[in-house]
Amino acid sequence: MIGRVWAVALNTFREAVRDRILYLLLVVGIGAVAFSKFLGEISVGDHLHVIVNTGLTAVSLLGVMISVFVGTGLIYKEIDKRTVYTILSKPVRRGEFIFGKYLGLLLTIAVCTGLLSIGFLVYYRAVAGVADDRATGLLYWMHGGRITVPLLAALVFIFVEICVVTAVAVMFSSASTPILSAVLTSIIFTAGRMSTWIPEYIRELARRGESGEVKSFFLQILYYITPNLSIMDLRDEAVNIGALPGDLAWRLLYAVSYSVVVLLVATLVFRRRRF
Amino acid sequence: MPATASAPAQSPAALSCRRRRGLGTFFILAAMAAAFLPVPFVCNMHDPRRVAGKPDDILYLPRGETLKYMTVGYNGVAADITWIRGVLYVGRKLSHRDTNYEWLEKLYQVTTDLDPHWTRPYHTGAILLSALPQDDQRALSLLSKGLRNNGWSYEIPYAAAQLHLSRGRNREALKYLRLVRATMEGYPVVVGNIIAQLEKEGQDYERATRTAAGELQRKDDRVVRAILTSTYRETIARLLEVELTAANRHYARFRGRPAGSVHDLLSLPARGKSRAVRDGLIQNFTWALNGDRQLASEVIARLPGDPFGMEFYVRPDGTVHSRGIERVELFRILKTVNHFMKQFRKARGRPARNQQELEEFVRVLTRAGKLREGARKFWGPEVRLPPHPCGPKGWSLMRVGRDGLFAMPPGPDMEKIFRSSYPVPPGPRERKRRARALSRDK
Repeated sequence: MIGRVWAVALNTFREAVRDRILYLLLVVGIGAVAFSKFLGEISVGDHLHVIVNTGLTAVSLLGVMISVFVGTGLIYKEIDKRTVYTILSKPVRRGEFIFGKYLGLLLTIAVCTGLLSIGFLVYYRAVAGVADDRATGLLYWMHGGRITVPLLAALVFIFVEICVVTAVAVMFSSASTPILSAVLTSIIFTAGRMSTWIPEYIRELARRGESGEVKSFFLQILYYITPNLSIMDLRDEAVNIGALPGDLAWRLLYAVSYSVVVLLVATLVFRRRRF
Repeated sequence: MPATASAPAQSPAALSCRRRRGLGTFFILAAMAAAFLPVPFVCNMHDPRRVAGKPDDILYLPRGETLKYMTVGYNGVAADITWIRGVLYVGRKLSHRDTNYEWLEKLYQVTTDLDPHWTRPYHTGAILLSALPQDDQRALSLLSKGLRNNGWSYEIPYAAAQLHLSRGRNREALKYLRLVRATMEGYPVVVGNIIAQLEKEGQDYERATRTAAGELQRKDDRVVRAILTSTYRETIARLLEVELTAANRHYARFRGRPAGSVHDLLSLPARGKSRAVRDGLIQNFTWALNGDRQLASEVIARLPGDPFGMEFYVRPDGTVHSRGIERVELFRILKTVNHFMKQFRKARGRPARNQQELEEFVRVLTRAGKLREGARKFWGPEVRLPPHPCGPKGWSLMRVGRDGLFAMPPGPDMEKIFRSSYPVPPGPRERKRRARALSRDK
């Protein structure tokens, strides 16, 4: 089974890297990281803060955009071009096909965000700071910010967040058209990023006396259905606090479980689908 | 089949047609761009708000809470952009010499709403708010917000202390500096020294000594220790003056008259429930020196010697004073007084004949608004020379030299005074060394 999933994943990766939009997004990401230097220069005093913020945002947005623009058309394209018949006529189960597609896309995103992350880290360590004229050799090129564990963890958790978004994109892609999938995935991403504010909103409604039981109930359901993506955002820890929260393993477990559940739903939908 | 095969290879006519079409598109786009170019100028011509030179009126900024929702979790970058917008706003105002900073506080509030754990907008923003629109209240409210959100950052209370210090509100500054020293890490090494200085200025000599000694016990750096030692000498001299004067009152109760010298005072033995003066002093100083009884004994053993290599003496009214601290204070006062003596000579072409003439000259400067804040504080509201450290008759005994300046009375120079040996609390490294030596001896 693993061999079949891996074969689908590898082919998906090969297919995805041929997509020109990928390179366009990568160039935009690199441009954003390079632009952060300029923003840092005019920020007066806290240029490293600006550079890290911009870099992390660029990596995150790049991953999300790839998963939305490439992921949403992934399965639809196979159906539209009828290449799905040649795959499913072989001993490949529909679930394996979905998981393979998902892993292939994740591999693509991992390569892209990994490249951008490495570029960002090198840039941050080497160029971001102000050169000390007295330093020589390698030291001259290492006058930027320090690469800390929270910063690396923030980059890892950006990828974890993208895994969840990609699972959602694949789920929608298995059931509808690319445009609708992209719209729905974007909505889920936005809702996921803002889901921690739902309890605050419920409390605010209760404070104002406007909270009906039905309203609160639906809001709570919405809170549990949408992925809580804000818990995967470690930007504040990396940029301002400099220490990691203690429940990282739980957050990781949550992301993995959510992605698996969403992919199972995608498999169920895809199994019922007739071409 | 031939038609399909020849399709990719286009004829020259088709190519030129495509090229023409491409050129046409390019020209249309260029014409559109050219048409839009004058739009900003036309807008400026017809929008009275823009031409009035008031960019504030068109600056629209949503609430931080609203922006937080709009940024979909990418509020860090939004905060950076708002902060940069604030930097540009200040730059524009300064370059236009415009003193209306109406939007400055709003920009910092939005920045801090978006990224509440970023400390720079709080402390730098507060300093700018207090310096440019001179709005201390808003600056302090921004710092309070910062302190609520970042209880771990020393920079925010430190900025609050700086703000209060710059306005002469030492008591409030001291409150914030104590908070920094007690609960935070990584704060500048000068904080302890500033606290000790402020406590000394507030005449809380016991706490000042305790602070200075505590800082000396924590620090190994040579430069920092040199600064702290000078504060420590002053605080301990002041504390000894207070303690010895109190002891002299005690002496007067037993002997019917105050002691004539510190030596006499220290010879008062224990009587009834009261301890001997020397023992009482050691006990009080052990507390002031953070429990270091050995150091306290060494300090008391030096008496009547003071921390500046000079001596304590008893005035006829029974109060005890340090000649060293009097000399240090006089040196500091003369530095400012001689500056004005020089100004007097420059203005009148001759030195001031007496104290009254100099004071009158400074009054003229004050009325003309030519005195800085520090100098105004030095001369006081009535513009008089500060009291002489050696007593009321001190100024009448001072001599003006040939250069038209007050000369220091004969005695050791200041370099020697601050370099004289005196028992000082050891730093961590020295304590470790002593402990190792002790264990070796055992």
